[in-house]
Amino acid sequence: MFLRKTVPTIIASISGVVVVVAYFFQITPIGTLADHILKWRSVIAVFALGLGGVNIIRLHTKNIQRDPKNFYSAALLLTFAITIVVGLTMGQTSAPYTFIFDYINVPTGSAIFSLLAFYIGTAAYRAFRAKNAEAAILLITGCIVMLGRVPIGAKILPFTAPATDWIMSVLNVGGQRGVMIAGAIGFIAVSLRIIVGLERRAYGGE
Amino acid sequence: MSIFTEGRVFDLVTLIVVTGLMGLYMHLARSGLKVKIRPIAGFAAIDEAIGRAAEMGKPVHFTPGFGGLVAATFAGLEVLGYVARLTAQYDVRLVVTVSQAETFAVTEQVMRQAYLEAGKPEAYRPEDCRFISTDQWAYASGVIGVLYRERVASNIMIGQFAAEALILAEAGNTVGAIQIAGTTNAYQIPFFVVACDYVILGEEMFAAGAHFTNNKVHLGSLRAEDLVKAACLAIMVIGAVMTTAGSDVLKTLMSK
Repeated sequence: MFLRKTVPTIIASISGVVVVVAYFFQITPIGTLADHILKWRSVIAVFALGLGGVNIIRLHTKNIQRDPKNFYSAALLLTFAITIVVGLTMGQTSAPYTFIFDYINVPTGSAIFSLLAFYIGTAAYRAFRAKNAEAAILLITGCIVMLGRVPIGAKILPFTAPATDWIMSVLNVGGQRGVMIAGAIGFIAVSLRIIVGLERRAYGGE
Repeated sequence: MSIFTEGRVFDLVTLIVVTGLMGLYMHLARSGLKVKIRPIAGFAAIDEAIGRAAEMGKPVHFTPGFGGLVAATFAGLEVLGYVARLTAQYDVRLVVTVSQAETFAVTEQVMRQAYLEAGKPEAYRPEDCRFISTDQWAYASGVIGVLYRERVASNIMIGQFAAEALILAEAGNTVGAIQIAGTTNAYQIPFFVVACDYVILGEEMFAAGAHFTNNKVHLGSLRAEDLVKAACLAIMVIGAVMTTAGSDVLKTLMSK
């Protein structure tokens, strides 16, 4: 109990207070300590990354043990091992390592990102069905904004361009700011509960 | 030279007032102040989502999103605690995917604790709490893979999400899962609204602890949050009136 809750609570409280004080006050020793705390955070995150790596290896090794034909798990473990070996032995600036990053990692990431364009289409197709009053409003607003955002839309229906500007700068911004302000107040509440040790989930439970 | 950082004095005073108010209401709630919260459809639907998974004999998927240990992630983990307890009680498999290593360590502990609280610590399967990747698109593709391979009955996504939000929600929709999502990221909320069955909007997420556990500290801080929101609204109205009248006193005060 002491090691699992009291010690983390003390560390979190001191770290939280120091970083907040360093933000608002110009006290050199506190500022230096806050910088150190932020660096320690990065170091701790690297240790956690090790835990994550162990989890990946354990999970996919089990998958292969259960089904030796599991191609996906085998491919993941193989690429995982190759990347680590190349990175450790040849360095992160070596040609093989940058090849893996520039010609495998970046393009595959971009491919997943590109799915977003198609998913926007399928989501819009489902959302733009006037099933009830709210959906009808969404449909009408969506149509106005889509027409107002393209030159031909404003040519067909000239009112869509100023209507789009009004929707985006008044309704949209107003709603988003409401969410942001309320979210920020919620952030303060959660942070305060963590600093005083009342946010039990922050320490993994009770 | 002033001890205060220039331009942050008003922020400091605001933080002190807000913190004091929250501390006061947390104390009052613990001392017996009654605080009621309105029902939130997204939270109420979690029981339905787990019940559906139990009937179908399929797993539930949960992810606290792409963020590290930020407030939204903690709100997600609060919900995860409840979801894990319920899935343990009903013998439903729960698969959790995590994108950040530091979040993974806490998530694993939250799951263990929830299974313990449900009286079924032996039902916890470490391989069902999965660290995917710290890379945004690798995480997205990993979660899509889990949703398709496990054919989940319910997909719960509550936490910090960015551009991958719609990709995950559409993948969940494709496998026919009932979907409950929540984020404080105002840019991603519309995507969740169009793609999910239930959406927990922004600050509603922070009511998770109060909703599921009736935690008095959470209830007290919720009451304080409402008061602070009312004060923000009042300042905005006063500011608009003063600016319209040609006075920039409030603006000058807030920039100090």
